[in-house]
Amino acid sequence: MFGTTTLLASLGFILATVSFISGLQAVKSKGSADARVHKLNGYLTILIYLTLAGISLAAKEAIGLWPVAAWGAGLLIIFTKIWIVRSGRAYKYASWLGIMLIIVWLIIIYTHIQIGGISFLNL
Amino acid sequence: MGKFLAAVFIGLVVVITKTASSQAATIYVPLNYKTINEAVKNALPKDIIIVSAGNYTENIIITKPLTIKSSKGADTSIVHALAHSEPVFKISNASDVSITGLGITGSLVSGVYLYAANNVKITGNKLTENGSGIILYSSNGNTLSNNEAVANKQYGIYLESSNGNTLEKNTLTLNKDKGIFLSSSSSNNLINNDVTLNAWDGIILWSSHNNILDGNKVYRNRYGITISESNNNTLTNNSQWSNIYVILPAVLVYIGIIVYLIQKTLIRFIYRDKE
Repeated sequence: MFGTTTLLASLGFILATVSFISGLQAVKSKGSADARVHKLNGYLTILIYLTLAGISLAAKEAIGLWPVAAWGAGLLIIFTKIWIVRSGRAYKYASWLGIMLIIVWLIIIYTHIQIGGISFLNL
Repeated sequence: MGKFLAAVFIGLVVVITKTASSQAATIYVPLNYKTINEAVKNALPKDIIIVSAGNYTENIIITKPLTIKSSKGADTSIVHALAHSEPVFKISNASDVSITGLGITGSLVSGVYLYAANNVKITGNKLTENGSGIILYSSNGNTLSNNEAVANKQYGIYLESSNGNTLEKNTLTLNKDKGIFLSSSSSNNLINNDVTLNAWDGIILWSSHNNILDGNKVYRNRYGITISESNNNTLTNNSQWSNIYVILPAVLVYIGIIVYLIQKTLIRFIYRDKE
C-alpha cells in the first residue's frame, strides 16, 4: 500500500519533528538530554534525506537540473544549520533554519505520498 | 422392414451430423488465423478463440456470441490498439460474449467498450494505459470480474445508462480520474472491488439508483465513495480510508511528539548517573 520512498519520507518527517522539538527544548532548558535527542535524530534525518535523494534521482531515466538543485538546496539548509549551531555565529537564526528544515520535509512528504496520477513535484 | 431400418439409420446419421456441426469450434490464434480480428470474422457464433502468448496490435469489433481467452494469462497475451482513437475490443449489439485473461492497452477510448451488449463476461483482464479500462454504454446484465484497470487516463470502469451489471473483485488503481463511475446506471452490484490510489473519486454514483455496494475497499483516493443525485443505493461492509494526502503530515507530527517524549525519557534513564 505504501512505497518505500513514502515510508522513508514519513520516517524522515517524524525524526525531523523530534529533532526540531528537542532543538527548541535544548536552547530553552540547556538540558543535555534534549541536546542528545536533537543530535541523534538530526544525524538520522540527514542519512534518510541522502538515501531518499539517491533513490529518487536513481529512479529517473534522465537526471534533470531542477531535481538536483532542489535536493542540493535542502542539503545546503541542513549544513548551514549545523554550521550555525557549531560555530556559535548567528545562533538566533538556528530556529528559523529548523523551521525551514521542517518545510523541506513537508515538501518531501508531499512529493512522495502516492496519490494516484497526481504529481505535485517531480523531484 | 429393410426400408424402414434404412430410413431410421439415415435419420440418425443426419441428427448426429447436425449435432456435431452445431458444437462450438475452438480456434487458435495465431495457429489457425494470424490475428484475433481474422479469427473473429471467420468464427461462428459460440466458437471459442484461444489467443496464444504474444503481442497483437489491432482493434477488434465483436457482434456475435464468442469466447475469447488467452492461453497463458494476461501477462503473456497482450493486445495493443492499432487505431488509438478506437477501443481495443468493441462489443456492439451482441450478447453472450466472453473476454478472459488478456492484457489490453493503448486505446485513447477504452480497453473494452460495450455498446448495447448484454450478458457479456469480462474476466481476469489487465487493462492498462487506455483512455478508460472498461466502458459500458446502454449495456445490461453483464459481469465484470477479477479485472485489473491500472493507470488509465480517465476511469477504471465507466457505466452509462447501463443496468443490472455485476462488478466483482476488480482492482482499480492509479487511474488518473475515477476508479468506478456509474452515470445514470441503476440496479448494479459492486462487490468486493479494490479501489485504490485513483486521482479523484474511488467510486462515484451520479444519477444512479438502487445499486448495491458491498465489501468494496476504497483506499487512498482523493475522495472515497461519492453519491450524487442518486437514491435507494445500499452500502454495506465497504471500507474507506480518508484522504491520506491531507492527514498524513498531521499524523506524522503527532507521532514525532510521542517519539520525542519516549526518546527523552530513555536518554534521561540511560545517562542518569552521568548528569
